[in-house]
Amino acid sequence: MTSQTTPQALGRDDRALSSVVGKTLELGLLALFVGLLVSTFYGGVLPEYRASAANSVADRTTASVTTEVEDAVPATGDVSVAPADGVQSVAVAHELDVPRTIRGDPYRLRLELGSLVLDHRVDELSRRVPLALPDAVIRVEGEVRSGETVVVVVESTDGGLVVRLEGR
Amino acid sequence: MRGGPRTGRREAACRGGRGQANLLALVAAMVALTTVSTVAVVVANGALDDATRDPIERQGANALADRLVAADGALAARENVLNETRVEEFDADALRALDAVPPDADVRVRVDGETVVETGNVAGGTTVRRVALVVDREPRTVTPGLDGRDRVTLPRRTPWVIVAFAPSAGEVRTVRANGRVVLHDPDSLAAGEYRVNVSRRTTPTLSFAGDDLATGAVELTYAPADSRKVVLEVTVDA
Repeated sequence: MTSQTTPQALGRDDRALSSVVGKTLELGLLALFVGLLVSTFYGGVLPEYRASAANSVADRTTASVTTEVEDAVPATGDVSVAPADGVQSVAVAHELDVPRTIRGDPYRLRLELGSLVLDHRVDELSRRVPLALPDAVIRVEGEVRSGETVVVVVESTDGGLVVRLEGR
Repeated sequence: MRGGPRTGRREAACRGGRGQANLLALVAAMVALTTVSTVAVVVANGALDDATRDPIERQGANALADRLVAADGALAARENVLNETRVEEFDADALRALDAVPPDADVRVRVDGETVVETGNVAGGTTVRRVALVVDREPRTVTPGLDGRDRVTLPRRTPWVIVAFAPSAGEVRTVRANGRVVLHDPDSLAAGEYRVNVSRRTTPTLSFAGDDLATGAVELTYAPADSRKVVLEVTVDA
């Protein structure tokens, strides 16, 4: 090894090697360091953060869409008038603001069986939340893709109210 | 590595100011960089943890509370007004029937600090509060004195009045509530009970038009509201 050679020897004959060895060592160390850093960040920290952030976004999207769907349904029951004279017809169209992608992937929002379903390619990011709706609502339906303009529509039918998600 | 070679290298470095001195600087720089990135990751972790909420749980609690105080809800007499009888009868099955939170979530509903329903074991969770009115309507019956007058003002406001005519009532042709005709029969109203809706917002004054009215001929049953303000607390522990 160079370091084991006596200073005199280095000083005389192999001096030129010193910088070559030094640079090579530096290069190797740096490459090792960068490799370590990259593998730590891209192998562990980054995906974990991405998943964690995506989880939060999925939660928030589901919660806000659920809230807005519930709020879109007006109260048609007891409004201090006799049932026969009550609300005859309802037509609501309310536009929702949802993120275009979650974790870089598009997703779907679906209403089915009294629940809101967020359908994501990654199962951990999919959600299903029950909707608290008045008894006047007989059915929920509809599916939208995340890139579209999401509109929640409430309509009167003979049996009661129908809540629908529409993409436009 | 033992003492010998290291000393040699250091000597070389000292003497020429060259050797592998760069390496030391490099290592120092790398240590600094590693420290900085570790600190950055720790800080980012903290920020992420701080920003973590449970929006779905909160949404469920909000939705449930809204359903409970909604005009067409299970407990409400009208918006933000709860019917006391229904509050007392409210139980876990009725809560589940609302279908507002996932079936596996633990829920507790309290009215004025008193637990009305608790499903499962609620520990922590998200709590939302709503200010509401609990109304208890208890029917009261009065027999107004009608000697020498034909007009009765009820002491309290009420949404309805049941007017009962005794067979001895004589001839009552018209009953007015606050000037509005609510019962009328030109051949006199038959004896019996009549339910009359009146405005909840004004004290009703009933006036009777007829002959031979006397005290005891008419009985009035009305339902004044005894209300108290409460805080409705809904806790959801998903």
